[in-house]
Amino acid sequence: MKPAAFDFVRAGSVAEATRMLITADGAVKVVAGAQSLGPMLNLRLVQPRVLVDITGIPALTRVEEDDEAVTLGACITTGNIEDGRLPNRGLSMLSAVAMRTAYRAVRNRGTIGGSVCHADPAADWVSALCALGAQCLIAGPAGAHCMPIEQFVVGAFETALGPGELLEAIRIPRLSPGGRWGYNKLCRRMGEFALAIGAVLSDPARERFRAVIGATGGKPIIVTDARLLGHGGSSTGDAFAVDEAAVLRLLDQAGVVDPVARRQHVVVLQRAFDQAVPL
Amino acid sequence: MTPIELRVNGRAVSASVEPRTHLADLLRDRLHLTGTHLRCEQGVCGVCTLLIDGQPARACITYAVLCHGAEITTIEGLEHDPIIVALRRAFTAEHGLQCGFCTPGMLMTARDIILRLPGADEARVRVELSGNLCRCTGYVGIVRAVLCALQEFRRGESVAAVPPERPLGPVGARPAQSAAAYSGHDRARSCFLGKTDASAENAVPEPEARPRDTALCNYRDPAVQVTVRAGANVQRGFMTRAKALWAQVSRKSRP
Repeated sequence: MKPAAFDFVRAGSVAEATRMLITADGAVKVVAGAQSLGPMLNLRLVQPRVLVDITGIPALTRVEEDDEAVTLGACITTGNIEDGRLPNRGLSMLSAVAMRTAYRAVRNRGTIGGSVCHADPAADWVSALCALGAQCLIAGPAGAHCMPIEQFVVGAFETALGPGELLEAIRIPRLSPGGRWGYNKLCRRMGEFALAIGAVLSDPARERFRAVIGATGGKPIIVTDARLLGHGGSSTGDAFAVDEAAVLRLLDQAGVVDPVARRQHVVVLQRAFDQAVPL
Repeated sequence: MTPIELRVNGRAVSASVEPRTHLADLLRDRLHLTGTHLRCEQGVCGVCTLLIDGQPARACITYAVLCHGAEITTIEGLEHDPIIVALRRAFTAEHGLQCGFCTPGMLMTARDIILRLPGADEARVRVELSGNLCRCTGYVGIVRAVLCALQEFRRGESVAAVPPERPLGPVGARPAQSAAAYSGHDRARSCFLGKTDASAENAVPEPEARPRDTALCNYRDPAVQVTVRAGANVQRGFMTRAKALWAQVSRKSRP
Protein backbone atom coordinates (compact mmCIF):
# COMPACT_ATOMS: atom_id res chain seq x y z
CA MET A 1 0.00 0.00 0.00
CA LYS A 2 2.94 2.33 -0.52
CA PRO A 3 3.62 3.88 -3.91
CA ALA A 4 6.65 2.94 -5.98
CA ALA A 5 9.33 5.61 -5.65
CA PHE A 6 8.93 8.72 -7.78
CA ASP A 7 10.59 12.08 -8.19
CA PHE A 8 8.73 15.26 -7.35
CA VAL A 9 8.85 18.71 -8.87
CA ARG A 10 6.76 21.80 -8.27
CA ALA A 11 5.78 24.06 -11.11
CA GLY A 12 5.48 27.79 -10.48
CA SER A 13 3.66 28.63 -13.69
CA VAL A 14 1.72 26.90 -16.45
CA ALA A 15 4.62 27.41 -18.87
CA GLU A 16 7.00 25.84 -16.37
CA ALA A 17 4.65 22.89 -15.86
CA THR A 18 4.41 22.16 -19.59
CA ARG A 19 8.21 22.41 -19.83
CA MET A 20 8.58 19.95 -16.95
CA LEU A 21 6.09 17.56 -18.56
CA ILE A 22 8.07 17.51 -21.79
CA THR A 23 11.55 17.30 -20.33
CA ALA A 24 10.84 14.71 -17.63
CA ASP A 25 12.53 11.43 -18.37
CA GLY A 26 10.11 8.52 -18.25
CA ALA A 27 6.47 8.40 -17.28
CA VAL A 28 5.24 11.67 -15.84
CA LYS A 29 1.98 12.50 -14.05
CA VAL A 30 0.48 15.80 -13.05
CA VAL A 31 -0.64 15.96 -9.43
CA ALA A 32 -2.95 18.47 -7.75
CA GLY A 33 -5.07 17.33 -4.80
CA ALA A 34 -3.97 13.69 -5.25
CA GLN A 35 -7.41 12.40 -4.22
CA SER A 36 -7.76 10.22 -7.34
CA LEU A 37 -4.09 9.78 -8.14
CA GLY A 38 -3.16 9.07 -4.49
CA PRO A 39 -5.12 5.80 -4.25
CA MET A 40 -3.83 4.76 -7.71
CA LEU A 41 -0.25 5.42 -6.60
CA ASN A 42 -0.70 3.69 -3.25
CA LEU A 43 -2.15 0.62 -4.99
CA ARG A 44 0.70 0.83 -7.53
CA LEU A 45 -1.80 0.88 -10.36
CA VAL A 46 0.26 3.78 -11.71
CA GLN A 47 4.01 4.02 -11.23
CA PRO A 48 5.18 7.30 -12.73
CA ARG A 49 8.82 8.27 -12.70
CA VAL A 50 8.02 11.91 -11.93
CA LEU A 51 5.12 13.83 -10.39
CA VAL A 52 4.64 17.46 -11.39
CA ASP A 53 2.80 19.39 -8.67
CA ILE A 54 0.65 22.17 -10.14
CA THR A 55 -1.08 23.35 -6.94
CA GLY A 56 1.44 26.15 -6.51
CA ILE A 57 0.41 27.82 -9.78
CA PRO A 58 -1.77 30.83 -8.88
CA ALA A 59 -3.35 30.95 -12.37
CA LEU A 60 -4.99 27.57 -11.84
CA THR A 61 -7.29 28.79 -9.06
CA ARG A 62 -8.52 31.74 -11.13
CA VAL A 63 -12.24 32.32 -11.60
CA GLU A 64 -13.66 34.31 -14.48
CA GLU A 65 -17.25 35.00 -15.36
CA ASP A 66 -19.26 36.67 -18.05
CA ASP A 67 -22.95 36.63 -18.94
CA GLU A 68 -22.74 33.29 -20.71
CA ALA A 69 -20.35 31.22 -18.67
CA VAL A 70 -18.16 30.76 -15.62
CA THR A 71 -14.57 29.67 -16.08
CA LEU A 72 -13.07 27.71 -13.19
CA GLY A 73 -9.33 27.11 -12.82
CA ALA A 74 -8.42 23.43 -12.85
CA CYS A 75 -7.12 23.45 -9.26
CA ILE A 76 -10.35 24.70 -7.66
CA THR A 77 -11.53 22.14 -5.15
CA THR A 78 -14.87 20.39 -5.09
CA GLY A 79 -15.27 21.57 -1.47
CA ASN A 80 -15.16 25.21 -2.52
CA ILE A 81 -17.71 24.53 -5.26
CA GLU A 82 -19.90 22.78 -2.68
CA ASP A 83 -19.74 25.84 -0.43
CA GLY A 84 -20.88 28.13 -3.26
CA ARG A 85 -17.77 30.27 -2.96
CA LEU A 86 -17.76 30.80 -6.73
CA PRO A 87 -20.14 32.68 -9.00
CA ASN A 88 -22.97 30.21 -9.51
CA ARG A 89 -25.85 32.08 -11.13
CA GLY A 90 -27.43 29.57 -13.48
CA LEU A 91 -25.12 26.85 -12.20
CA SER A 92 -26.85 25.50 -9.11
CA MET A 93 -26.10 22.04 -10.46
CA LEU A 94 -22.43 22.43 -9.57
CA SER A 95 -22.79 22.73 -5.80
CA ALA A 96 -25.50 20.06 -5.73
CA VAL A 97 -23.20 17.62 -7.52
CA ALA A 98 -20.19 18.63 -5.40
CA MET A 99 -22.08 17.97 -2.18
CA ARG A 100 -22.52 14.29 -3.08
CA THR A 101 -19.04 13.70 -4.45
CA ALA A 102 -16.93 11.48 -2.19
CA TYR A 103 -16.53 12.90 1.34
CA ARG A 104 -15.76 16.32 2.76
CA ALA A 105 -12.20 15.33 3.71
CA VAL A 106 -11.64 14.30 0.07
CA ARG A 107 -13.44 17.33 -1.39
CA ASN A 108 -11.18 19.68 0.57
CA ARG A 109 -8.27 18.57 -1.63
CA GLY A 110 -9.85 17.00 -4.70
CA THR A 111 -9.95 19.39 -7.65
CA ILE A 112 -12.43 19.70 -10.52
CA GLY A 113 -9.63 19.63 -13.10
CA GLY A 114 -7.99 16.62 -11.49
CA SER A 115 -11.23 14.68 -11.57
CA VAL A 116 -11.77 15.45 -15.26
CA CYS A 117 -8.17 14.55 -16.19
CA HIS A 118 -8.35 11.34 -14.18
CA ALA A 119 -11.36 10.55 -16.42
CA ASP A 120 -12.82 7.86 -14.21
CA PRO A 121 -16.08 6.95 -15.97
CA ALA A 122 -17.85 6.88 -12.58
CA ALA A 123 -16.65 10.34 -11.53
CA ASP A 124 -19.35 12.93 -10.94
CA TRP A 125 -17.62 15.83 -12.68
CA VAL A 126 -17.15 13.92 -15.93
CA SER A 127 -20.87 13.26 -16.35
CA ALA A 128 -22.13 16.52 -14.85
CA LEU A 129 -19.87 18.71 -16.99
CA CYS A 130 -20.82 16.72 -20.11
CA ALA A 131 -24.47 17.49 -19.39
CA LEU A 132 -23.69 21.19 -18.88
CA GLY A 133 -21.73 21.32 -22.16
CA ALA A 134 -18.47 22.46 -20.58
CA GLN A 135 -15.36 23.36 -22.56
CA CYS A 136 -11.83 22.36 -21.52
CA LEU A 137 -9.14 25.02 -21.84
CA ILE A 138 -5.85 23.30 -22.53
CA ALA A 139 -2.40 24.84 -22.25
CA GLY A 140 0.48 23.23 -24.05
CA PRO A 141 3.80 23.76 -25.77
CA ALA A 142 1.96 24.88 -28.92
CA GLY A 143 -0.18 27.40 -27.07
CA ALA A 144 -3.65 27.25 -25.60
CA HIS A 145 -6.69 25.69 -27.19
CA CYS A 146 -10.16 24.65 -26.25
CA MET A 147 -12.30 21.54 -26.74
CA PRO A 148 -15.68 20.27 -25.52
CA ILE A 149 -15.39 17.93 -22.55
CA GLU A 150 -17.02 15.07 -24.48
CA GLN A 151 -14.04 15.17 -26.84
CA PHE A 152 -11.58 15.68 -23.99
CA VAL A 153 -12.63 12.46 -22.24
CA VAL A 154 -11.65 9.83 -24.79
CA GLY A 155 -12.41 6.74 -22.72
CA ALA A 156 -11.98 5.21 -19.29
CA PHE A 157 -9.01 6.98 -17.62
CA GLU A 158 -8.06 8.41 -20.98
CA THR A 159 -8.06 12.01 -22.17
CA ALA A 160 -7.14 13.89 -25.32
CA LEU A 161 -4.22 15.64 -23.58
CA GLY A 162 -1.10 15.50 -25.73
CA PRO A 163 2.53 15.47 -24.57
CA GLY A 164 3.28 18.48 -22.41
CA GLU A 165 -0.36 19.56 -22.29
CA LEU A 166 -2.19 20.60 -19.17
CA LEU A 167 -5.86 21.24 -18.41
CA GLU A 168 -5.85 24.87 -17.34
CA ALA A 169 -9.50 25.70 -16.79
CA ILE A 170 -13.05 24.59 -17.48
CA ARG A 171 -15.59 26.96 -19.02
CA ILE A 172 -19.12 26.10 -17.94
CA PRO A 173 -22.07 27.76 -19.71
CA ARG A 174 -24.77 29.11 -17.43
CA LEU A 175 -28.36 27.89 -17.67
CA SER A 176 -30.98 30.42 -18.73
CA PRO A 177 -33.40 31.57 -16.01
CA GLY A 178 -35.97 28.95 -17.11
CA GLY A 179 -33.40 26.18 -17.51
CA ARG A 180 -33.51 23.08 -15.35
CA TRP A 181 -31.20 20.20 -14.62
CA GLY A 182 -31.46 16.70 -13.21
CA TYR A 183 -28.67 14.62 -11.72
CA ASN A 184 -29.03 11.21 -10.20
CA LYS A 185 -26.57 8.49 -9.33
CA LEU A 186 -26.68 5.07 -7.76
CA CYS A 187 -24.10 4.16 -5.12
CA ARG A 188 -24.14 1.21 -2.76
CA ARG A 189 -22.64 3.44 -0.10
CA MET A 190 -22.84 7.22 0.16
CA GLY A 191 -19.86 8.88 -1.47
CA GLU A 192 -18.63 5.84 -3.35
CA PHE A 193 -18.02 5.82 -7.06
CA ALA A 194 -21.38 5.44 -8.77
CA LEU A 195 -22.73 2.29 -10.43
CA ALA A 196 -24.90 4.40 -12.72
CA ILE A 197 -25.22 8.13 -13.36
CA GLY A 198 -27.97 10.00 -15.16
CA ALA A 199 -27.70 13.71 -15.97
CA VAL A 200 -30.16 15.87 -17.87
CA LEU A 201 -30.00 19.49 -18.94
CA SER A 202 -33.18 21.15 -20.11
CA ASP A 203 -32.76 24.73 -21.24
CA PRO A 204 -35.47 25.61 -23.78
CA ALA A 205 -34.33 29.24 -24.09
CA ARG A 206 -30.98 28.06 -25.46
CA GLU A 207 -32.59 25.13 -27.30
CA ARG A 208 -30.63 22.63 -25.25
CA PHE A 209 -32.04 19.33 -24.10
CA ARG A 210 -29.18 16.99 -23.36
CA ALA A 211 -28.93 13.72 -21.48
CA VAL A 212 -25.87 11.88 -20.22
CA ILE A 213 -25.58 8.23 -19.22
CA GLY A 214 -22.50 7.99 -17.01
CA ALA A 215 -20.54 5.32 -15.12
CA THR A 216 -20.87 2.91 -18.03
CA GLY A 217 -17.27 1.75 -17.79
CA GLY A 218 -16.26 3.81 -20.81
CA LYS A 219 -16.71 7.42 -21.82
CA PRO A 220 -20.12 8.90 -20.97
CA ILE A 221 -22.93 8.41 -23.46
CA ILE A 222 -24.14 11.85 -24.52
CA VAL A 223 -27.47 12.36 -26.22
CA THR A 224 -27.54 15.90 -27.56
CA ASP A 225 -31.24 15.72 -28.44
CA ALA A 226 -32.77 14.05 -25.40
CA ARG A 227 -36.20 13.93 -27.07
CA LEU A 228 -34.91 10.84 -28.87
CA LEU A 229 -34.87 9.00 -25.52
CA GLY A 230 -38.52 9.62 -24.78
CA HIS A 231 -41.92 8.32 -25.73
CA GLY A 232 -42.83 11.67 -27.18
CA GLY A 233 -42.85 13.80 -24.02
CA SER A 234 -41.41 17.24 -24.55
CA SER A 235 -38.78 19.37 -22.88
CA THR A 236 -41.36 21.85 -21.68
CA GLY A 237 -44.61 20.00 -21.16
CA ASP A 238 -45.48 16.80 -19.37
CA ALA A 239 -43.36 14.40 -17.41
CA PHE A 240 -40.76 12.70 -19.53
CA ALA A 241 -41.03 8.91 -19.78
CA VAL A 242 -37.75 7.33 -20.83
CA ASP A 243 -38.02 4.89 -23.73
CA GLU A 244 -36.23 1.89 -22.26
CA ALA A 245 -35.55 0.32 -25.66
CA ALA A 246 -33.77 3.48 -26.84
CA VAL A 247 -31.56 3.55 -23.75
CA LEU A 248 -30.75 -0.15 -24.06
CA ARG A 249 -29.70 0.36 -27.68
CA LEU A 250 -27.21 3.00 -26.53
CA LEU A 251 -25.96 0.70 -23.77
CA ASP A 252 -25.53 -2.08 -26.36
CA GLN A 253 -23.33 0.22 -28.42
CA ALA A 254 -21.31 1.08 -25.30
CA GLY A 255 -20.84 -2.61 -24.49
CA VAL A 256 -22.85 -2.59 -21.24
CA VAL A 257 -24.16 -6.18 -21.15
CA ASP A 258 -24.83 -6.88 -17.46
CA PRO A 259 -28.63 -6.94 -17.13
CA VAL A 260 -28.51 -5.45 -13.62
CA ALA A 261 -26.31 -2.56 -14.76
CA ARG A 262 -28.57 -1.94 -17.77
CA ARG A 263 -31.64 -1.73 -15.55
CA GLN A 264 -29.81 0.58 -13.13
CA HIS A 265 -28.90 2.97 -15.95
CA VAL A 266 -32.50 3.12 -17.17
CA VAL A 267 -33.87 3.81 -13.67
CA VAL A 268 -31.26 6.41 -12.79
CA LEU A 269 -31.77 8.21 -16.10
CA GLN A 270 -35.52 8.31 -15.55
CA ARG A 271 -34.95 9.88 -12.11
CA ALA A 272 -32.72 12.53 -13.66
CA PHE A 273 -35.46 13.31 -16.21
CA ASP A 274 -38.05 13.50 -13.43
CA GLN A 275 -35.91 16.13 -11.71
CA ALA A 276 -35.19 18.14 -14.84
CA VAL A 277 -38.63 17.94 -16.45
CA PRO A 278 -41.18 18.77 -13.78
CA LEU A 279 -44.64 17.26 -13.78
CA MET B 1 14.87 13.05 -0.52
CA THR B 2 12.94 16.31 -0.56
CA PRO B 3 13.27 18.86 2.23
CA ILE B 4 9.97 20.18 3.55
CA GLU B 5 8.89 22.52 6.28
CA LEU B 6 5.51 22.46 7.88
CA ARG B 7 3.86 23.19 11.17
CA VAL B 8 2.53 20.26 13.16
CA ASN B 9 0.29 21.07 16.11
CA GLY B 10 1.68 24.58 16.21
CA ARG B 11 5.35 23.59 16.04
CA ALA B 12 7.68 24.18 13.13
CA VAL B 13 8.96 20.93 11.69
CA SER B 14 11.53 20.47 8.98
CA ALA B 15 12.10 17.06 7.49
CA SER B 16 13.67 15.41 4.53
CA VAL B 17 11.21 12.96 3.03
CA GLU B 18 10.93 10.66 0.09
CA PRO B 19 8.30 12.15 -2.25
CA ARG B 20 6.22 8.98 -1.88
CA THR B 21 5.94 9.38 1.90
CA HIS B 22 2.36 10.21 2.76
CA LEU B 23 1.52 12.55 5.58
CA ALA B 24 0.36 9.81 7.95
CA ASP B 25 3.65 7.92 7.61
CA LEU B 26 5.61 11.10 8.32
CA LEU B 27 3.53 11.82 11.40
CA ARG B 28 3.49 8.27 12.74
CA ASP B 29 6.92 6.90 11.83
CA ARG B 30 9.06 10.00 12.04
CA LEU B 31 7.28 12.31 14.48
CA HIS B 32 5.77 9.48 16.53
CA LEU B 33 2.36 11.12 16.57
CA THR B 34 0.47 7.84 16.39
CA GLY B 35 -2.96 9.30 17.12
CA THR B 36 -3.52 9.47 13.36
CA HIS B 37 -4.42 5.91 12.45
CA LEU B 38 -3.91 4.10 9.15
CA ARG B 39 -5.92 1.32 7.59
CA CYS B 40 -7.03 1.27 3.95
CA GLU B 41 -4.44 3.74 2.61
CA GLN B 42 -6.68 4.49 -0.34
CA GLY B 43 -8.85 7.25 1.06
CA VAL B 44 -11.89 5.13 1.83
CA CYS B 45 -11.98 4.27 5.54
CA GLY B 46 -11.35 7.71 7.03
CA VAL B 47 -9.25 6.72 10.06
CA CYS B 48 -6.36 8.94 8.93
CA THR B 49 -8.53 12.08 8.70
CA LEU B 50 -6.73 15.08 10.19
CA LEU B 51 -6.75 18.84 9.72
CA ILE B 52 -4.68 20.55 7.02
CA ASP B 53 -4.89 24.32 7.33
CA GLY B 54 -7.77 23.69 9.72
CA GLN B 55 -9.84 21.64 7.26
CA PRO B 56 -10.32 17.86 7.38
CA ALA B 57 -8.34 15.86 4.82
CA ARG B 58 -7.08 12.33 4.29
CA ALA B 59 -3.48 11.87 5.42
CA CYS B 60 -3.00 8.60 3.53
CA ILE B 61 -3.54 10.04 0.05
CA THR B 62 -1.89 13.37 0.75
CA TYR B 63 1.85 13.15 0.26
CA ALA B 64 4.00 15.08 2.72
CA VAL B 65 5.76 16.95 -0.13
CA LEU B 66 2.38 18.39 -1.15
CA CYS B 67 2.06 20.00 2.29
CA HIS B 68 5.21 22.13 2.26
CA GLY B 69 4.39 25.18 4.34
CA ALA B 70 1.05 23.82 5.55
CA GLU B 71 -0.39 23.78 9.04
CA ILE B 72 -1.16 20.22 10.18
CA THR B 73 -3.27 19.46 13.22
CA THR B 74 -3.47 15.90 14.49
CA ILE B 75 -5.73 14.57 17.21
CA GLU B 76 -2.86 15.12 19.68
CA GLY B 77 -3.01 18.83 18.90
CA LEU B 78 -6.71 19.08 19.78
CA GLU B 79 -6.39 17.88 23.36
CA HIS B 80 -7.85 21.10 24.76
CA ASP B 81 -9.96 22.14 21.78
CA PRO B 82 -13.40 22.96 23.23
CA ILE B 83 -15.28 21.08 20.52
CA ILE B 84 -13.13 17.98 20.87
CA VAL B 85 -13.52 18.14 24.65
CA ALA B 86 -17.31 18.21 24.21
CA LEU B 87 -17.16 15.42 21.64
CA ARG B 88 -15.03 13.22 23.93
CA ARG B 89 -17.60 13.68 26.65
CA ALA B 90 -20.45 12.87 24.26
CA PHE B 91 -18.68 9.83 22.76
CA THR B 92 -18.26 8.45 26.30
CA ALA B 93 -21.82 9.13 27.33
CA GLU B 94 -23.37 7.74 24.14
CA HIS B 95 -21.04 4.76 23.64
CA GLY B 96 -19.55 6.29 20.50
CA LEU B 97 -16.59 3.92 20.46
CA GLN B 98 -15.65 0.41 21.32
CA CYS B 99 -12.16 -0.47 20.06
CA GLY B 100 -11.34 3.17 19.31
CA PHE B 101 -9.57 2.55 16.03
CA CYS B 102 -11.85 4.81 13.99
CA THR B 103 -12.23 7.39 16.76
CA PRO B 104 -9.50 9.91 15.81
CA GLY B 105 -10.95 10.19 12.30
CA MET B 106 -14.51 10.24 13.61
CA LEU B 107 -13.66 13.10 15.97
CA MET B 108 -12.07 15.11 13.15
CA THR B 109 -15.15 14.68 10.95
CA ALA B 110 -17.52 15.33 13.86
CA ARG B 111 -15.66 18.54 14.69
CA ASP B 112 -16.03 19.67 11.09
CA ILE B 113 -19.79 18.98 11.22
CA ILE B 114 -20.16 21.13 14.33
CA LEU B 115 -18.19 23.99 12.81
CA ARG B 116 -19.59 23.89 9.30
CA LEU B 117 -23.13 22.56 9.73
CA PRO B 118 -24.48 23.73 13.08
CA GLY B 119 -28.05 23.04 11.92
CA ALA B 120 -27.42 19.44 10.81
CA ASP B 121 -30.11 16.88 11.63
CA GLU B 122 -29.59 13.15 12.08
CA ALA B 123 -29.85 12.41 8.34
CA ARG B 124 -27.24 15.04 7.50
CA VAL B 125 -24.92 13.84 10.27
CA ARG B 126 -25.12 10.33 8.81
CA VAL B 127 -24.31 11.63 5.33
CA GLU B 128 -21.34 13.59 6.63
CA LEU B 129 -20.04 10.63 8.66
CA SER B 130 -20.32 8.27 5.68
CA GLY B 131 -16.64 8.71 4.88
CA ASN B 132 -15.59 7.24 8.21
CA LEU B 133 -16.00 3.51 8.74
CA CYS B 134 -16.64 1.95 12.15
CA ARG B 135 -16.72 -1.82 12.53
CA CYS B 136 -17.79 -1.95 16.19
CA THR B 137 -20.63 0.36 17.03
CA GLY B 138 -23.07 0.23 14.14
CA TYR B 139 -22.85 4.05 14.14
CA VAL B 140 -25.93 4.58 16.35
CA GLY B 141 -23.87 5.73 19.33
CA ILE B 142 -21.58 7.84 17.18
CA VAL B 143 -24.47 9.65 15.49
CA ARG B 144 -26.11 10.28 18.86
CA ALA B 145 -22.85 11.61 20.30
CA VAL B 146 -22.39 14.03 17.40
CA LEU B 147 -26.00 15.22 17.74
CA CYS B 148 -25.50 15.77 21.49
CA ALA B 149 -22.36 17.83 20.91
CA LEU B 150 -24.09 19.75 18.12
CA GLN B 151 -26.90 20.66 20.48
CA GLU B 152 -24.45 21.80 23.12
CA PHE B 153 -22.79 24.21 20.70
CA ARG B 154 -26.07 25.37 19.20
CA ARG B 155 -27.21 26.42 22.67
CA GLY B 156 -24.43 28.71 23.55
CA GLU B 157 -20.72 28.67 22.95
CA SER B 158 -19.96 30.27 19.64
CA VAL B 159 -17.29 28.67 17.54
CA ALA B 160 -15.27 30.02 14.67
CA ALA B 161 -16.79 28.86 11.39
CA VAL B 162 -14.93 27.88 8.24
CA PRO B 163 -12.54 30.73 7.46
CA PRO B 164 -14.03 32.68 4.54
CA GLU B 165 -10.59 33.75 3.35
CA ARG B 166 -9.29 30.31 2.54
CA PRO B 167 -7.81 29.76 -0.91
CA LEU B 168 -9.71 27.99 -3.69
CA GLY B 169 -7.05 25.31 -4.26
CA PRO B 170 -6.45 22.12 -2.28
CA VAL B 171 -5.99 22.61 1.47
CA GLY B 172 -2.30 22.57 2.29
CA ALA B 173 -1.19 23.90 -1.11
CA ARG B 174 1.06 26.97 -1.20
CA PRO B 175 2.19 29.16 -4.08
CA ALA B 176 5.31 27.63 -5.60
CA GLN B 177 8.60 29.40 -6.07
CA SER B 178 9.39 29.23 -9.73
CA ALA B 179 12.38 27.37 -11.13
CA ALA B 180 11.84 24.40 -8.85
CA ALA B 181 14.48 21.75 -9.30
CA TYR B 182 14.28 18.00 -9.47
CA SER B 183 14.69 16.21 -6.21
CA GLY B 184 15.20 12.54 -6.88
CA HIS B 185 15.20 10.21 -3.91
CA ASP B 186 18.81 9.41 -4.69
CA ARG B 187 19.71 13.00 -5.46
CA ALA B 188 19.81 15.37 -2.52
CA ARG B 189 18.94 18.48 -4.45
CA SER B 190 16.63 21.08 -3.02
CA CYS B 191 13.15 21.17 -4.51
CA PHE B 192 12.09 24.38 -2.85
CA LEU B 193 13.80 27.69 -2.78
CA GLY B 194 11.91 28.76 0.33
CA LYS B 195 14.08 29.92 3.23
CA THR B 196 14.44 27.54 6.15
CA ASP B 197 13.24 29.23 9.28
CA ALA B 198 12.62 26.25 11.50
CA SER B 199 15.03 26.02 14.38
CA ALA B 200 17.42 23.10 14.45
CA GLU B 201 15.80 21.60 17.53
CA ASN B 202 12.68 20.81 15.52
CA ALA B 203 14.50 19.14 12.67
CA VAL B 204 13.22 15.61 12.26
CA PRO B 205 15.96 13.03 12.19
CA GLU B 206 16.25 10.38 9.53
CA PRO B 207 14.43 7.17 10.44
CA GLU B 208 17.57 5.49 11.74
CA ALA B 209 18.23 8.25 14.28
CA ARG B 210 16.73 8.06 17.77
CA PRO B 211 13.32 9.66 17.48
CA ARG B 212 12.94 10.26 21.21
CA ASP B 213 15.72 12.83 21.18
CA THR B 214 13.57 15.29 19.28
CA ALA B 215 11.67 18.07 20.92
CA LEU B 216 8.49 17.23 19.09
CA CYS B 217 7.96 13.77 20.49
CA ASN B 218 8.09 15.06 24.04
CA TYR B 219 6.34 18.32 23.48
CA ARG B 220 3.27 17.27 25.38
CA ASP B 221 3.49 17.86 29.07
CA PRO B 222 2.61 14.57 30.80
CA ALA B 223 1.57 16.44 33.94
CA VAL B 224 -1.12 18.27 32.01
CA GLN B 225 -2.34 15.10 30.38
CA VAL B 226 -3.05 13.13 33.53
CA THR B 227 -4.99 15.91 35.21
CA VAL B 228 -7.56 16.00 32.40
CA ARG B 229 -11.07 15.19 33.59
CA ALA B 230 -11.77 11.58 34.50
CA GLY B 231 -14.29 9.48 32.60
CA ALA B 232 -13.52 9.79 28.94
CA ASN B 233 -9.89 10.34 29.67
CA VAL B 234 -9.15 7.66 32.18
CA GLN B 235 -7.67 5.37 29.61
CA ARG B 236 -5.94 8.20 27.83
CA GLY B 237 -4.39 9.41 31.10
CA PHE B 238 -3.17 5.93 31.82
CA MET B 239 -1.57 5.61 28.41
CA THR B 240 0.14 8.97 28.80
CA ARG B 241 1.45 8.02 32.22
CA ALA B 242 2.77 4.76 30.83
CA LYS B 243 4.47 6.59 28.00
CA ALA B 244 6.00 9.19 30.32
CA LEU B 245 7.28 6.41 32.55
CA TRP B 246 8.73 4.61 29.59
CA ALA B 247 10.45 7.78 28.41
CA GLN B 248 12.02 8.24 31.86
CA VAL B 249 13.24 4.66 31.94
CA SER B 250 14.70 4.87 28.47
CA ARG B 251 16.37 8.18 29.33
CA LYS B 252 17.99 6.62 32.41
CA SER B 253 19.13 3.55 30.56
CA ARG B 254 20.88 5.67 27.97
CA PRO B 255 24.67 5.68 28.27
